[in-house]
Amino acid sequence: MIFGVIFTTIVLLLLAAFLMFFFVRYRVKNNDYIKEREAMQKSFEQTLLQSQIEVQEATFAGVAKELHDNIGQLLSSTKMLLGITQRNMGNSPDTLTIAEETLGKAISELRSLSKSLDREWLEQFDFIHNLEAESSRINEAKHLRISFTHPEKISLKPDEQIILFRIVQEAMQNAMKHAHPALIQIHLTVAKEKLRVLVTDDGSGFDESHQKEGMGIRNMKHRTKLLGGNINWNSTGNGSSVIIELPNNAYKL
Amino acid sequence: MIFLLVSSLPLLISLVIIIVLYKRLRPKWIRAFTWYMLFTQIIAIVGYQYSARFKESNHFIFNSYLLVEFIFFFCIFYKSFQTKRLKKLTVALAIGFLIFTILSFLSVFAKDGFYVFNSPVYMVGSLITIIMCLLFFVSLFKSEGIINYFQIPMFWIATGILFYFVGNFIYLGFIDYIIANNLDKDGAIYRFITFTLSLLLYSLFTIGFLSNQTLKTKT
Repeated sequence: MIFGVIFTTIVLLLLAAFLMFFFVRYRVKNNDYIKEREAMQKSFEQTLLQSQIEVQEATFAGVAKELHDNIGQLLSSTKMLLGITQRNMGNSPDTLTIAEETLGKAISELRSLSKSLDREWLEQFDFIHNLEAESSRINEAKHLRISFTHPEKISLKPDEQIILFRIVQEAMQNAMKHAHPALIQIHLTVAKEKLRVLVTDDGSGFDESHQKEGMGIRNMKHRTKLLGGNINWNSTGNGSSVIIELPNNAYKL
Repeated sequence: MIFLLVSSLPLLISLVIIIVLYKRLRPKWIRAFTWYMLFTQIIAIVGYQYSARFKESNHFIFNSYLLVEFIFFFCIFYKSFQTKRLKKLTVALAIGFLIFTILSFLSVFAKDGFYVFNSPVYMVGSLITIIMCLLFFVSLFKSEGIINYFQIPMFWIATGILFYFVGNFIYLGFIDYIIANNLDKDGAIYRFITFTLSLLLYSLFTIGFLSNQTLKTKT
């Protein structure tokens, strides 16, 4: 009898041990499956975002081509006709001269804008040069000043470079459109294996509690996510700031 | 006294560890194990001393202890269950157990007196506790997301409780028969089973308390 008790006890303990083994083994397998599924989901999202951005870049390129080849040519023809008119008139009125100068500036602006949208043009330069060119283009208009501080050299993959450039470009456009600042400062730093871009302005700022998420903001978030980084907005009475942080794998020094 | 000390060693080690980690234990209700283990140790000493001094059965002490022990485990499972359904089931089983215990005590005491071990209460309590352990594992089993069982203190605790009660179930279920027929003459088999299972129980408790510590340090 007592051996029966001992035997049954051992059998029950073994059964419990088997049950525990089954629970643990199933969970380990399930964890692996979840990890795999999450990786696939992440990969799918990345591909989707990449596609969205590629479509957007293609649209930008189309707009740039249209601006340069069509509107640009029309404006150039108009400028040429104004010049001929001026010469034919001999003593042309001041308003015509001003109109011709204004048209010249408009053509120049249009070319710069066209270039900044053209991916092929952007790929010829690194991020720093691209942003410097964009800053210069805006500074030339003299509506506001853009200062850009950066390390001597930083290299990004071409695709990542374009994406980061578009994020900063959108941040600058947002500041100009909504906050009307006199100064926009862009600080690019590399610290603790992180690439950090800080875009601050001295404009009117925004109410963080009533911040609407428009297409521009969504695009910035999407692009940052695609680079595996994070983006944050801050606002005070003295302006606002956008902080973009990218992890180590998003850039190569 | 040496036997008491040796058999209590796993519990004492576990008790010292939980006292050291007391403030850092998460979730906080895990701390209740300190008082449970302290109470268990006191009962073991009192029971042993009573039997040694008065040369009488100390079963009435352990009969009373059974109620506290099982209610404590029911409370622990109640806290660890995440769904209302399981919590309600725990309350229902606890109430059922209480009613059964009262009725059982009344009938056993009326028939056999105060000094007989109330094995039906132990059997029913063990069975409910085993069911709760299994329900806990099933709820963990079904939970979404990535879960590392080894970092969940209650996983280790429930595993210890499961092995302890499964291991004790058959022997204590037949204890009346074994004593009546003098099958375990000097109680050596019982002592071996109890010591082995206690060692396993408190070792797993200790791992549980320490795994909680690891988790906290990581986060």
